[in-house]
Amino acid sequence: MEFLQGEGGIEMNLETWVFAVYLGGLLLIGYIFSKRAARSVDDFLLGGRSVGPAVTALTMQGTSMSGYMFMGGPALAFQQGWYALWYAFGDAGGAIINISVLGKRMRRLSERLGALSPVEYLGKRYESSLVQVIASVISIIFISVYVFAQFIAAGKALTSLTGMSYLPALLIGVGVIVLYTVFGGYLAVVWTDFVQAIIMVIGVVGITAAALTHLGGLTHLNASLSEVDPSYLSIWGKDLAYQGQWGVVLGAVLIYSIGYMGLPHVVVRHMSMKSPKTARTAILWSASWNQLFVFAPYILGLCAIVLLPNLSDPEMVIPELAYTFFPGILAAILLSAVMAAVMSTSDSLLMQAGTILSRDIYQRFIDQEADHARMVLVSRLLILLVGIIGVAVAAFEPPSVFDLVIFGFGVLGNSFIVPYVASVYSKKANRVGAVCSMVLGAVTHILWTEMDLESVTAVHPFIAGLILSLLGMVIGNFFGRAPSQQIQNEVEAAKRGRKVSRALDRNSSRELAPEARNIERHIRGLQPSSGSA
Amino acid sequence: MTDLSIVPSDWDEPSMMEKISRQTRARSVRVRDFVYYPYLYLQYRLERNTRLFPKKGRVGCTVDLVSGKEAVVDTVPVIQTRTVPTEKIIGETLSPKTARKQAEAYIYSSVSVGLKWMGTLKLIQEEERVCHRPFWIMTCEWERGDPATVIVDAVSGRYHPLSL
Repeated sequence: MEFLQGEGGIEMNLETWVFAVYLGGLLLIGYIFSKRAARSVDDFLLGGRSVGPAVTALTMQGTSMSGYMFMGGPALAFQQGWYALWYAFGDAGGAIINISVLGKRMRRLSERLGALSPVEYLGKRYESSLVQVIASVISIIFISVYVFAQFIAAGKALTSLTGMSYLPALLIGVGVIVLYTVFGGYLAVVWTDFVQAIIMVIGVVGITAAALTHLGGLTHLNASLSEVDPSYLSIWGKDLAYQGQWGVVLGAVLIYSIGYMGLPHVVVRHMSMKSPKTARTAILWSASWNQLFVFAPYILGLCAIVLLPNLSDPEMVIPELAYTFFPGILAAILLSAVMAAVMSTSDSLLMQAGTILSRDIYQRFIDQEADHARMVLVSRLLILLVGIIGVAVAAFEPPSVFDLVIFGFGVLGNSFIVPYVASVYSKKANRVGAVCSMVLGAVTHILWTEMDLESVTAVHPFIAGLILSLLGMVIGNFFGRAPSQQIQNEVEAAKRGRKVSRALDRNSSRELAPEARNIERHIRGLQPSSGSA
Repeated sequence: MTDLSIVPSDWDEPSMMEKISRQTRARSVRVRDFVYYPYLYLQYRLERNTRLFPKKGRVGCTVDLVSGKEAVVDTVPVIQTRTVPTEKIIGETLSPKTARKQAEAYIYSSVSVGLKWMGTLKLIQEEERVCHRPFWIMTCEWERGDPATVIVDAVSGRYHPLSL
């Protein structure tokens, strides 16, 4: 596979043609859908209601498959063996823990405060613009870090596909991502994402099945790993590097379960003007898909230890295995889908960062009368800036995709978990505590990583950040004003819960919370609360 | 009594009570009252002027005239005028001007999120009207545990408990 070590220049080999035809095909699908003008806007906004829950779920899964899944995860397993699965457990189980433990109270309080996104929730709960600004800035910066990882993955995927060297591949990849975020958006078409998801899912499952079959199953894989180096089978990493370091293991498990809370979830609220027929099964489908695919990349990393012992770049596990087990043209189609998925993920993240900057910071604090054109300009400038910094980071001293993603998620988690937990478990938690907690959590994680204090202390940066963030909250709460009586009452009410039957709670529609609150006030003979529920 | 523009219900009382009883396993469900909740409905024509991917279409938005919450609507609502008891109408607290401004900002951000595209759009307002959605207030009782009061959206059939 000499094309993996391309020496510059674009050879129009078969793979390059496949990639060009693939992107051309996506453009064509996007163009055809765009032409269905009158219906398409509704379809976009309402998430492709016509396609059914299984398709919607698979599409969601496809868009969440990022550069990390195809490069970072397998690389860690290739380097550390079964230890890498700690991260997968956090990813697979984190959402469930969140929903069942912290989620309930947060959801109730969030409903009561009328907050749609986590950042907005923090601002309202702590009654502080400063909290919201700091949360926004941390989100923007570390979403960008996550995007940088996608840039590197895009550069590598393009290198592997076209045979050109890394730097021009990176520049082309990032250029395409930035340009199409600003001018395109064609990949948002639900069927385009669906086609991609199908290719990626079949591809990943196909490679995993082929690799495991080739090795004689999981048991034989473990036997082969043991022959290479028995410590690959250990839960403590290769050469037992993390033996007894529960601080590191705990950090690995927690990082994905908590980090996502810092990502801004931009929610489009829908109102049905007729009786809806769709059920909530898409979420169930999506959760099932996630459980199925979260482990596959790590397993592939383990297979590569045996199958590709001389692999120089661990992040190329999936591309190399694709070419090993699939005919060239199918491998190229899979890698084209990976590249397009990286573009789609980056696009969404850049959009979200741009929206936070323009709406939550610029319009709120700098120019309240800013019109739509000005807001778009602010967002575009941020996207351009992230693109330039991203190229600089990815080109001159590129960290691994895994390191960047873990760093980004770690800082997001350390910044937000303590303020979130305190917001529902302590009615006395105030804005000074929240600010100290966010800043200390983020700064600790950054310094711990940069100064490599983990190797000295045997404590994962995430655990260090968590402890300092907690201290920040506890000490900060001694200073500044206590939360208003209204907020304290809301926290108490969220703690108590609704005391309604479980079946009623499960089936009730959260989107009606503002209406419920105002009708409640009407029944009590009070004036409905204006502005925000 | 007041003449009101309302979105008519898609459900009748017995079938809605049967649905809630089935879903929540309540022993009994009974209608206690009903109210009309105010929204501003706005419809826009949308134009995106790029040569490669021109996009035109219509998009509807409602703004809750009490709490100011915006939502994108799925179809153009059928609105009827009815005479209803004044005390059953929830009072508006948001001015149409503020609601309109919020709706436009919301459509801009929703369209860019939905289209995953950061660009300028042209929104041309085609329709604006205040309409009311009927809500039932129902009481549910179970074999065990406390009874609960719920509001039921008579258009979509969705419901939410009240803390009374």
